[in-house]
Amino acid sequence: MLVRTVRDGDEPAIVELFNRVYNRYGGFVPRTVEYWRWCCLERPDVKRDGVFLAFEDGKLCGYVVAGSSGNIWEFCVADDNEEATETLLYEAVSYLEKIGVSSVNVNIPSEAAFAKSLREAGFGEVPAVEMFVTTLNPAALVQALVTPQKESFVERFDDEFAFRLHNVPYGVSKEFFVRIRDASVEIAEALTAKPSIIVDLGFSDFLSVLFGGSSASRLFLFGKIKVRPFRKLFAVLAFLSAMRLEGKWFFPLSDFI
Amino acid sequence: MCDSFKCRTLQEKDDQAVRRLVESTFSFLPIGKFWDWKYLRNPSFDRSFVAVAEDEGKIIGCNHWLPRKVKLADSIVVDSMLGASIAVLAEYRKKGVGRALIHFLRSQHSERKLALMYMFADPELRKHFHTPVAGYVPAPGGTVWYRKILNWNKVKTNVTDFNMRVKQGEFGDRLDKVDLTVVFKVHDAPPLCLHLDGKGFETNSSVEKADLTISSDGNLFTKIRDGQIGMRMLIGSLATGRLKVRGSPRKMLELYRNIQTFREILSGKIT
Repeated sequence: MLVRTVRDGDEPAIVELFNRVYNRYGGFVPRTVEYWRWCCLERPDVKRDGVFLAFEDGKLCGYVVAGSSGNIWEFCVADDNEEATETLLYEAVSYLEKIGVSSVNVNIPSEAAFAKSLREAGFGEVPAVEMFVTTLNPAALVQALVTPQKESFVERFDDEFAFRLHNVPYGVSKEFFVRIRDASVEIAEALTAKPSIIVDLGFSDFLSVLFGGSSASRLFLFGKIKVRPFRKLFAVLAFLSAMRLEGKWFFPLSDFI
Repeated sequence: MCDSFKCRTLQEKDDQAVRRLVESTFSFLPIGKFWDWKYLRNPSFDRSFVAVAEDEGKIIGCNHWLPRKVKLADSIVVDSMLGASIAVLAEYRKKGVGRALIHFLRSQHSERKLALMYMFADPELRKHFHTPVAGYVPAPGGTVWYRKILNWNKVKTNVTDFNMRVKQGEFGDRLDKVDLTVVFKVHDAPPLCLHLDGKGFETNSSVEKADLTISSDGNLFTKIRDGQIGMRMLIGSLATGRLKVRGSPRKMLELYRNIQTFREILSGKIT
């Protein structure tokens, strides 16, 4: 395994590796060369001798970006390569020790295999800053969630849902409708005159369902969702559940600050 | 609501004041470099996404939005905004400035129909400010933070600053009767021995002469240091052995009486 510091021209391979390794997660900014250069190389506390790359058979298999603030801004290793993980971790910690850093911070996906290597290297879990989300346009959010799975929605639903949201924050539209009919999906901000289903729920509850903090059936059990006509309840619960984001989210420290 | 201020978008003449405001509010950021890098040199920076609150020509608050693409799931990437660096001068807080800044940016960019806005925040602040004002909810979990303490150099710097304040008489005779040596053994970090007496702290005391030994993992140590755990959790940690305290009850009581002083030394910038 070859380890060296970053050079001009390494960026496309780094960006490709990052996007491939973290592809199964949500919650981060997909890397482009321009974004990565700004986010890592141009960061005030990062010098090129704190960016280490590991190569196996001439191919990039991992990299780490360490800053003089003690933060490991990005840590990325392909295929849970244990040797690359340990080598890069050693290089980063040695570099930070050498420049007089007091402590090292790194964040990783909760299910990452290299958590074991971190613990063996003396790292301990600490309380984390959390990520929070909201929307300025519920219809646009629903559009983003439904469009990639349009075929599946068209197959499962044949209805017109009118959503009326309560306790909506400033600047956010209070209602939107979704019409799934004749193999097409139409989403708009205004309600139609006679929607076939009317759904009333709180703005936060709506977001909690979409982002996995709650479930549609839980909202119903706690009386937080009202559906008219009531016989359409299961269609509404199924529709909300189908939009729900189920996967884990991971944001590297470089996306945080 | 304080009526004397007005909100507007950032102009070049505001840069210096906004830079100062952000860096003084978020003291963990590198001074003089951070704001320029994060905003001015950001490829997606746009002045119309930064709001400032002005009171008689003085910048009293700011709120930044940064356009970014964010991945929601496998094949879903959306245009979004990172709500960042919302800062208000201490004397203007709790007067509706933060709320007005958020409302201003929202009204300025209402035509954008943003599917997602996100931010990073302390959960308590989120509960009392960001959720009521902007409707934020927790994003799906899955990120874990790890820390390794390499040395206690920053604690030693805090000790030097603290001792200077003792010399200047800031603490009066409050520390005169204190004579306490505590060893902190945090998992996978070198031990830290602190001696406190009327002259202030000393970091070179011998571990063997310690009156109290406190052992824990890094996570618990951070929570205790930051005052994030209550008495019930503290007792639970002692009962399960996650937190170990060795020493005489008299010295434990002495530590309890001076806990804020120890927190001051250990908190903030040890990392």
